[in-house]
Amino acid sequence: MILRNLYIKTNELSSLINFVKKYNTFKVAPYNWNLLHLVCLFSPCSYLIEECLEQGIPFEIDSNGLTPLHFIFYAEKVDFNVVNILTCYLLQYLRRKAWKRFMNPEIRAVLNALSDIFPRLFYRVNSDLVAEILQFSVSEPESFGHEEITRFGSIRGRKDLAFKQHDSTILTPRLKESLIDESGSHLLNIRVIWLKCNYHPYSSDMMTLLKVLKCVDNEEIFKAEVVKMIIEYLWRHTYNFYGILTIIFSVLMILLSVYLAVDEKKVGLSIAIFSLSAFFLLYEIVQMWVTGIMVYLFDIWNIYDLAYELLLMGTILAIWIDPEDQYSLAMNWLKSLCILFGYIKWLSFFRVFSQTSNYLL
Amino acid sequence: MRMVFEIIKAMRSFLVILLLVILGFSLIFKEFDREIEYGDSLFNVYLLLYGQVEADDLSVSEKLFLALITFALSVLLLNLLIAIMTSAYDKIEKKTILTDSKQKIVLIMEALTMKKALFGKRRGKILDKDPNRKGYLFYVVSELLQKEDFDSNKLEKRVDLVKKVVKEELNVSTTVIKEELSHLNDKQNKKLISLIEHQLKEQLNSKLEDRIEKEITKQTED
Repeated sequence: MILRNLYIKTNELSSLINFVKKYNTFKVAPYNWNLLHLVCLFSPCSYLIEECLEQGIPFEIDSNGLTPLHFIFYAEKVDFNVVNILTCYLLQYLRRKAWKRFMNPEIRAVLNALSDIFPRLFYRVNSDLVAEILQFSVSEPESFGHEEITRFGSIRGRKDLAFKQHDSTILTPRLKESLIDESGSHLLNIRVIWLKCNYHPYSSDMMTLLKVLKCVDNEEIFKAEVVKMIIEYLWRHTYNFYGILTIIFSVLMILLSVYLAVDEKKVGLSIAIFSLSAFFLLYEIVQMWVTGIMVYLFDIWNIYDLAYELLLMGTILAIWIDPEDQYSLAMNWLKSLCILFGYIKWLSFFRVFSQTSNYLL
Repeated sequence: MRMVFEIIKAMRSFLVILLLVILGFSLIFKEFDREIEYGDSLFNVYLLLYGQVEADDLSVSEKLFLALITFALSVLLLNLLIAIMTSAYDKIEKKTILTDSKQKIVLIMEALTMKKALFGKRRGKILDKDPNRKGYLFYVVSELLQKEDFDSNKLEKRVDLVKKVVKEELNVSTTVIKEELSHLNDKQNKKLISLIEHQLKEQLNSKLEDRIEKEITKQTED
């Protein structure tokens, strides 16, 4: 490679900058690489990249669907300054093309190419820049033939929001039918997220994205429509799970309250409470096994849950071992702690419901 | 939970001051009443914080100190506490989107990990291996309209809504055109700019008019 040879031979920035100025239309044919690709591949330094941008060398996708950002990310050492300069350039490029944003194939191609490195953007690029790039990744879908995008109707299943993953960005009649009932009279807003990835909730793409978002500290990222919608989409997949857990725990707490309120200890009640607390203990053990002990113990709430289930089971056993209440003070403490920690845990389940989440999240 | 913890966190330094005030005054009251246990004296001063004042059996000196502590606790410190709590609450409110989203992410991750482990581990693996599963996420948001809007004059209201939508699109397009033109402006080609501006606006207007007409005819046919 000319640039590589030049870099190895001279290692002088000035000669490289001159090279960029002289051969700004240079292209490597089979790969569709321009000078920006080559600079990012062989000598990714901020001066050279700035010079490329000064010379108006476009931010293009090569024949393998890779952008200059890919080359920077896959390099052994990543210079954050270079990444940010290049991302700034990408942003300018998107802004320039955005006036035809709705169906612009160039933006679509860039966003498609960026889908691979999308999660990396979050922790390697300035968050404000990422937030702005994210604004370009949602728009109206492409219409099927000359058919207009539906504006009125109602969402199937009497919902206020519906999601569907599809292979293309075209709103096909079949897809439309699965989402919308056109006889309805609501104003509808149909949108598509242009980032191509596996949106199945169990997929590694979604898990990676969640892990990255967990570490983000910029509110602008969470205000971006694409992030809001992906969180909402995944939230709807987990809502029922928490709903069921809340019901089971509520039953446990009601039974425990009744059990401790009445003086006469019923065998059936104590067996039911013991079984339910064993279920929650099993749940915690499974969680520990799935996430790994260290990760599990890192969260204080996990320790709390585990300790509570053990305390509850221990208390029920203690009541049965000591029916004549010989150690009344100790038993009173155990029962009181069971009620106190149990009710705190019960409250924490109400984080899931929108009506109560504001006070508890 | 987060809100409660954040407020407690904001109160930390205040609680130290409060503790010192209570400790100090409990010792003073203990000095005046040697028969009382120190624990009781401490608890009595703590109760003063909530307005439980019993001054019947107190001497003049004790009453003087009682007046001082009730003023310090109930008027000064309690109001300061409320101010601290309000400020902490406001701070949390400002960061609501960030903190709520992050909490939601933690909950989602936990639930998905458990669901995958319990019900869908095999299915999840298959999905990950299949590159064809990659795609785009479509979503539809429904903006619920007022019932009376449709009962009074259905067609008229719908046309108004179409107009509203078209206007919004027009605003977006004009700002985008302006941005594009300002870009061209740098190249000092003003004649070209005015020509393009004129043509673009005409094109856009005619397209939008067509669209409104289409929508109206569609609605009347319905």
